[in-house]
Amino acid sequence: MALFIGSQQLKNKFSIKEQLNNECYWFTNIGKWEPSQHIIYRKRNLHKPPYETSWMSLLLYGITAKQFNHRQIKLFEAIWTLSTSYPEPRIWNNRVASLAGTAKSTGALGVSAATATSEAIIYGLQPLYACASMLTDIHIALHKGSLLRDLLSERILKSKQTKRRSGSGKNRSVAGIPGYGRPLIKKDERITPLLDLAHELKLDKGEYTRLAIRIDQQLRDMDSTLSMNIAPIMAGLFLDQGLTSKDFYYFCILCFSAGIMPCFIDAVEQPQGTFFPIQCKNINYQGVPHRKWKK
Amino acid sequence: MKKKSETITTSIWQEVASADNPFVAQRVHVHGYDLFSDLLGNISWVEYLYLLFKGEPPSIEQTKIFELLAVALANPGPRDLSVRAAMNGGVGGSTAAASLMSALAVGAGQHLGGREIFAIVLGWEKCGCNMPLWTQWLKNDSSDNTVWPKNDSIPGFDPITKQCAPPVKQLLEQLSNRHNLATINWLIQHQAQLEQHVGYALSLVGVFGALFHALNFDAEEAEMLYLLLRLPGAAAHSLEQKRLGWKTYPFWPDGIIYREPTIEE
Repeated sequence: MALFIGSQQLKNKFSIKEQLNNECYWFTNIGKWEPSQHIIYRKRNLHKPPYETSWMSLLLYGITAKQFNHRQIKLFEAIWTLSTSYPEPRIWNNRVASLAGTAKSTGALGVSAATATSEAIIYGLQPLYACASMLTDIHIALHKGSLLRDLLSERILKSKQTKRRSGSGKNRSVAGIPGYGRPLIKKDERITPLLDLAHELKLDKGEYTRLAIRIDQQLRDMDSTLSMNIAPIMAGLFLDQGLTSKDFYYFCILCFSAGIMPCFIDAVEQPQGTFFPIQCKNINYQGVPHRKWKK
Repeated sequence: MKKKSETITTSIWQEVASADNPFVAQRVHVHGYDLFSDLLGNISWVEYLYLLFKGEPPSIEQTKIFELLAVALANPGPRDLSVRAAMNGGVGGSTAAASLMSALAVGAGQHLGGREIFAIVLGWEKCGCNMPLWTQWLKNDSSDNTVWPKNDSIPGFDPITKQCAPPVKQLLEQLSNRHNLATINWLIQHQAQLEQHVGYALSLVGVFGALFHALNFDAEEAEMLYLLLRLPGAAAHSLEQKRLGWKTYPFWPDGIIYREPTIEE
């Protein structure tokens, strides 16, 4: 059915110029609120039975326009709960929430700032998305006949050539083999429980999950010091449900929230300014000696 | 439990603790200058910003250019995407920080935002005043496989017009009348050629990027400063809308055209 505004038939996609000429309208198939009537969420009427009760199911529907079965939704929830919900205030994004709490800021400010902070280079959203993209790219290349060893060697070499490090320095970037290697420690305690749960759900045998594990083995065969962290397993299990790396990025944006929130609450309930306070002497100044400003 | 203090390493800030309280500073030095007994009253806001980022005071000429840039950036106006975000905070009665965080999030983008400045300054670092290098670089540098979405516009050029906007011309004129900057002189000389190559007009953001480079700020510094220096307008407009209230603010009651013809029952 064609849609019209006045006599103008709507095209599927407008150019920038056409969109600017229709400045009073926003054309969408995502949703619309009809006051006092209903809310349309993509193609669904949210206020008509059977009511959607699972938030994760609605979130995935909002991202992908697809509906998932009970086992899949359980898997998506497990990816969040077992992998990224650490109420550990030393982790950098969570620490922002703790600092907001100790500063007696608001919960929404602390949680949203910590969520934005989660889009980091050495952990969080940037390597998660890069890892899912890498699995997708390698999967395609393997189907075209490339060898895994060559693909990984190429990535390691390219990463060395750019001289952009992930951990420090100017213009830092995500590691060449994202998801393999973890700041601070080597063994990732999250892998076994998440794979166990995926096994229980009979969702652990997909191509991308197997590829993630194969890459880990291949790196070991190449005498690499890199070892798999949870990101490739999260990404593999997700991609195996017929979803894309971009879907995975959107899915992961809020995945730290269950860890962030209690960090805020913990700190806000303590006296103000007491979260790891720093004494004046613990500023390790390495700058120029004292000098006088020009008058 | 063994007590182990940790330290913050910095070459910017130094504190000497008061004798009676280890958490209270007796003296503070910034890049070697005593903040409260030497800098205050003697340093201007933009000189202090420059000092914080570069570690050295700006020259008189750099101070004048930076001042001009800071004023040009301070308020992008209420049609600007980042200011509109801040006003949404204001009009609904959100917290002050939410308004500024909204301005930052929206003003961070690759279209008119901090990431566009980052790309432009990176371009200057790579191409300098070399036209063949620029023509190579000005092919759209799309950021695939990063968290930054695909963007079709060319950094520094206005994707909706081929005619250079009056404010861009005025800014370039001000700069060439008052200062002798190699970067800006080159940009003025090659503007027509660049615009012809790209197919669009040079934008204000394009000139701002050139100015950050002329002031020796690298791409990361320029991105941060661009985000920071545009906040005053966002804050002022947000407060104005907070006081005016939601009834005078756009809502587009008939503005959503839902394309999907069928609703699942």
